[in-house]
Amino acid sequence: MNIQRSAPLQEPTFFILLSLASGIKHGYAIMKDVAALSEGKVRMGTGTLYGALSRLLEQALIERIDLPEDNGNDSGGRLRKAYRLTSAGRSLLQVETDRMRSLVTTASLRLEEGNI
Amino acid sequence: MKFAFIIYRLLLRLYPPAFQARFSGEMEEVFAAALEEARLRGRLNPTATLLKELADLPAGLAHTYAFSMNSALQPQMTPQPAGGDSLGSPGSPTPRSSWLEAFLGGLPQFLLGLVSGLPLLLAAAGIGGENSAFGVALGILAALAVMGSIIAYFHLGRPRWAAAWYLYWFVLVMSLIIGFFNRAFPQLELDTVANGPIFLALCCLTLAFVLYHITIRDRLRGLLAAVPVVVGLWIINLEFVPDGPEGINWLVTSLLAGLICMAVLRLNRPDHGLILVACMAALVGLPYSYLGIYMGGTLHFSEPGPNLRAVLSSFAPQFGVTAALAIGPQLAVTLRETGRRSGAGGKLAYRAALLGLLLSMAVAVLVLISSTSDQGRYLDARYPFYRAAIQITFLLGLLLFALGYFLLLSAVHRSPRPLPGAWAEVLLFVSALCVPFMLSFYLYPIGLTQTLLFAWVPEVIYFPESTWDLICRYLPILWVVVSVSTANLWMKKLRST
Repeated sequence: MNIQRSAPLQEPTFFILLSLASGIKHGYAIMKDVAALSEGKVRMGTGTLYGALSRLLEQALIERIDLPEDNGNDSGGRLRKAYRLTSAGRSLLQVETDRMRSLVTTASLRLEEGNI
Repeated sequence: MKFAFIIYRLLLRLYPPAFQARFSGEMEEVFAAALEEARLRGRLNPTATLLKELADLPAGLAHTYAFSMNSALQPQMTPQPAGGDSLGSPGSPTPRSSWLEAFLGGLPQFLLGLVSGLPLLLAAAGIGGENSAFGVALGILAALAVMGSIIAYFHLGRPRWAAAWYLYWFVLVMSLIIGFFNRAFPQLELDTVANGPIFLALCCLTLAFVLYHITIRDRLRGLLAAVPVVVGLWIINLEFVPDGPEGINWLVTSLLAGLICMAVLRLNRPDHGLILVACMAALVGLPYSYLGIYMGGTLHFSEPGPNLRAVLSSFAPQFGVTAALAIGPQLAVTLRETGRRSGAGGKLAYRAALLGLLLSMAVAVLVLISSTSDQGRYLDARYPFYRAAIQITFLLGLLLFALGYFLLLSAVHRSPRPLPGAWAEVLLFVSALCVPFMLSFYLYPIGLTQTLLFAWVPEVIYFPESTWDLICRYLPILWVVVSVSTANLWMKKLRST
């Protein structure tokens, strides 16, 4: 996929990719992490979350893996679905972050010019 | 908490099957975890969690369906081999519909009959007015059924029966759009635009184009999608008919149309389906014409009084138009399939032929709509340039069709795959050429030679008015019989070679 064309990202997509940038997570962990990262501003329901995950999987920006459940109990070796950022997803996140950084720089410069 | 979980599991069933198969287990786990955490925070929190999911549902569903539709559209773009699925033959890959599926295909017509007919019958019996609470409730039920059919369409993997609902989806969406713009931007006066001749003509051409494309995919779907339009075009006969007869007419004709849809789906044969839909246009149209002539004010002033001859004169041209909606796309797809088996030359030729037909149809529709609206003044003798431009464009369209058809036959004769023969080629030419004429016949009983498209004819060839009368009365019926036979003959030949 064309990384440049995919930016700017929608807010939930950006936060999901950002959440996965720190490591592999399962659905509920992503949901909670997104709420924390956005300081409670983006609270996704399961429909929105899995709709977004489905699109990201289709675009090969993330991948789905089976992880053994790790909850401190004897889970009987049960596997749980989890998600991991692909290199394309990481590149896209980098492009989006650079775009936002550039935007912030431009905005700051304009604001400073206005103050002079 | 258990109740919330059961509701959530039911809601998950609204998602597309492929999405459910992939994610529903995980989504249930996530929701269970969210519920558990909410329970630890307080008794009311699980309910709040469920409500949050409910609020999130429409957006989640919309995104998921939009995405799955987008993905599903890709294979549709792939051209089909000539004589492939679109022929829908007995040996076609699409299996015959079950009784339930057939019923769902007939349901929009049954509902139309109930929603339009029952309130009128009750009003005629003095029980409530036309806009009674009962009528409103039926309307809401029908709107919910239409929305349910949209969800079912995606949920069940775009089943064939849904083609009978396409028109109602379009009406629902257009009503919502026009309603929204009327409220948000009243200065736009969208109602006026939507009733203007250009907009209506564009709608007609879009309809022709859409029906053609549905028929390319599957001939049976094309027939089913045409049924509601075929029925709907007869409505103009009912404007002044009293409530009682109008209500009975709605119930009977809608029931008939619904049963025909069911039969088309059950038979799973496009050739039989075409015959059935053409017969339906006649059977549905006759009572409309009868009511129009005897009670609806459609009797032309030149007729001595309501009689069966006047009913036939009113019926035949409208029958030609309504049947053309089902037959036209089938003929167009026949041209396409013939062209696509004859190399690059054949493809170019069939496109030219179809473009010519579309151009003539565009002019015929514009004249038809303009002559019944305020803008009809452009059609009178004060605007000779406009009149001449319209007549020339109509003829140019027909010439382009003739040229395209000639090139198509040349390409076909050079290819190794044989065709039905000289007579069949002539019949296909005549049948397709008559489609724009059928639209023009709709103007009768204004009088064909009085209409703009044919006003020049008496100056070139003299026909007594009675001859025109005979042409208008019998030619559409003859055309329907010939073109249905031709379409079915070509369908059979294309399938066998």
